Amino acid sequence: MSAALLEVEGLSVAAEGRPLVGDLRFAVRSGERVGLIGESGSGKSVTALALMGLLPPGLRAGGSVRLAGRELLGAPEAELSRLRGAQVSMVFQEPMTALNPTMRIGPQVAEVLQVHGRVPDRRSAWQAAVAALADVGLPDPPALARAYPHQLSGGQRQRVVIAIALAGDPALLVCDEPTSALDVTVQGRVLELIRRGLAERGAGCLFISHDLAVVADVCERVLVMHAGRVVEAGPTRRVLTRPQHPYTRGLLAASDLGRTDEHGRLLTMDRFLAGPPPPLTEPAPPWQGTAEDGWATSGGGS
Amino acid sequence: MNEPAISVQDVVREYRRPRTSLTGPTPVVRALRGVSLEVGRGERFGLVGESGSGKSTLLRIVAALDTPTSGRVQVLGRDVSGVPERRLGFLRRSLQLVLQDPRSSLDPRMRVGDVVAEPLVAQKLPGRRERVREVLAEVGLPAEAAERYPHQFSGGQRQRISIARALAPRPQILVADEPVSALDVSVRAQVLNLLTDLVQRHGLTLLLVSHDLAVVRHMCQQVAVMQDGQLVETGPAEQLWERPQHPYTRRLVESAPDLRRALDRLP
Repeated sequence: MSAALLEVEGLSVAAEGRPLVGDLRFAVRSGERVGLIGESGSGKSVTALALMGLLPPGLRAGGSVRLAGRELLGAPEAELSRLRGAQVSMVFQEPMTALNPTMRIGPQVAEVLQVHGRVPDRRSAWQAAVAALADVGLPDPPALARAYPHQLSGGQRQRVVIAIALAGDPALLVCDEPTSALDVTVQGRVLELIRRGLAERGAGCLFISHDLAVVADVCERVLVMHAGRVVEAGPTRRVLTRPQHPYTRGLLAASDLGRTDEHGRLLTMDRFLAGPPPPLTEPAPPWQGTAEDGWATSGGGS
Repeated sequence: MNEPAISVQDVVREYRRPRTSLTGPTPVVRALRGVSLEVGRGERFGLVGESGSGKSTLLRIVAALDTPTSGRVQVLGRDVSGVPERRLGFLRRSLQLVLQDPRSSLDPRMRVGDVVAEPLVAQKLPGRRERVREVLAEVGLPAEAAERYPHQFSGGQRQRISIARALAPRPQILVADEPVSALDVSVRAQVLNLLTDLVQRHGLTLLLVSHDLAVVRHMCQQVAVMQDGQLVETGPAEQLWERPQHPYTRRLVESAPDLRRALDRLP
């Protein structure tokens, strides 16, 4: 087992004293793709933002997030901005809001390369940007580099965002619902692109999605998040074929539109969950996961 | 009485784009290039296609919110395109819409009771309060919901509110444009079950638009696949899924995210 690239221990996020995420612990190793499954409001996007040091004002994170051994929580902003884009970068759901609408595509890619000192001057930054666009499979990269984001299709825009995220050769890529806004036929190709980009760089990935099929397609290990807590973790195949937690079972059943009960009705979550989840202010219910599931980081038990 | 619920004959819709040069012609976008389809009464009909395929344009034309450049649209045997609004009363009563994103299709400043009553007010139908209570109960919301505002509800509940509003004037046809694609998987099944129940209980005709083949396959008997403003394949849902004929349909079926397929590939 190689050393962990990202180690999250006892991470909590709260808004003015109200807990949103409680006591998260997990690790991502280099080259590993870990899925974070959950529905809106479960705390998965807030977790991603906390890892990136991008929490909006009013939200506070506690605990520990270490990237390649370096503590990120509480690190000075200057250090974080050196890391972002170079060591860790992020692909967001909506490429139209992630890109600057008033700036041509090329300069947006070149900017990352220049800021992190990957290229000596503007001219080579432009060339490297065009090469990065070619690398994500965009047609006619020199012309595309001169286009504005609104002139591109949704799939093309997401490819640009991925090119920007990968431009600094990050060790960790955080993807937050990267294909949820895309058409199905485009989705598969964009996922393939992410997988390839990660493999070429040996980078690790935290992949956030509510779509179980997409997560199963990309990730070897998954964490299932519900109401601010990870309720189940383990190898993707085991968690999604032999789920232990009622919430995971419910999520699987509700996602399956090919499965109905004796009245021809789709299975819903409420069949699986006895009641509302326990509030984060109360201690977590006992968890039977083992260190082998990747639930605990090396040395830490649960 | 055996004319179809919806009949679309050779509908073309062209838009003019803003001029790109002073002397050149204005570019024309052909959103629909001769679409024909028929939805029988009581049928559950699905329309599948990607963004930009023209499915929403077609819905807007069927609901007489837009007029075709050429072609004919009839709902319950009566012409709806090119007919002035004052003579579309029958359509506004008999055909109701449920849209994708309840956050943008519900007025945030109106109480839920007023939102649901809107079609009743517009059509001057009596017994509003009673009807609002009835339809809220039908979609599984408590009567007190009427006093609250849309933002006080979750995404799934908000979609229930849109469905209640659509049901209020007792329509015969329900047109749903991506009704569950903004919802979490955990509530998607509940909303689809609700739609199925309502369609059965009231004998509604359902025209459902979705980019998600799995949703359409579960909900609809008959499916049409749209690409670049044209229907490329029409047939029973199971047949399209199991034996797609057109290469585009095949691509759609193959690229649809499928959990079982993905799990089979895992080590």
